[in-house]
Amino acid sequence: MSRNKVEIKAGELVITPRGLDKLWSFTKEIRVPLSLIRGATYDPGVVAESKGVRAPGLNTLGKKVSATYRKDGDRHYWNVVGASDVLVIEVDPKFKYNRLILSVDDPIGAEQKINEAVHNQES
Amino acid sequence: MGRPREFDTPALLRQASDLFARRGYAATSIDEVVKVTGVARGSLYSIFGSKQGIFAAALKRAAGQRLGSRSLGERLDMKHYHGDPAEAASLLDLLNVAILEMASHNHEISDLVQHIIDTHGITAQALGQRALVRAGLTEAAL
Repeated sequence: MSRNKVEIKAGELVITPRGLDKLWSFTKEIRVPLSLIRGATYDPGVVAESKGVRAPGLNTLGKKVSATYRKDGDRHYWNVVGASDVLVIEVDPKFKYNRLILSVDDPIGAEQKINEAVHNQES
Repeated sequence: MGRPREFDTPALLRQASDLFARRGYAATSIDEVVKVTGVARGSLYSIFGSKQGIFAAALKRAAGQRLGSRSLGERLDMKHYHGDPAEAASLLDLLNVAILEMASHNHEISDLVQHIIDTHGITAQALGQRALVRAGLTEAAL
């Protein structure tokens, strides 16, 4: 089962880490206005990249990551297990995180759903 | 501090176009785009927002190339074409990828495809012909 539930509700993307991940990442829920989302991409390869410097959170030998990272002045939220089913959501720097890296069910479907919702909200 | 380095965006989009045209949209990973363009993943996301953002920018660049005074559709119907066939072929390849893989469920891309088709007078014949050429099933008409 994936680590995050991703839903679109009333103009916002609502991300809910499941179970203990709420604890590890010190995050109960993230709500991002669709107007601040720049795009979503299915990108399992992101897991192999350097994550930057970790703020509070958990990282068990790279397989399971629930934490906030800072890299080159950016703020990234990671909640990932393994190296598949990973979705990258790019967010406007005005938001507390400018990139979210999440394990989700059906990442390709989630990518399409989010990009379409963002486009519909703009037009 | 987290801002993308200077690099040649048109060249990046040309390389990305070649990749999407060759592999299609879904089968092109961000890993491949990073490898082919030499641009860091973080910079790609900062600039384009997503893989779809890269694809849309590549399609817009291809459509904005100098394609001559006659419409692309007319030119592709010509038996002896002496312009820049590579740019025209690249645009048709990207359009075919967009139509087959994305346009049915993606309004940003379908709106863009419709606009380019209308602007350049691209015919179904030209798109179909190019799809057959790409597959090696017929000789180039260009």
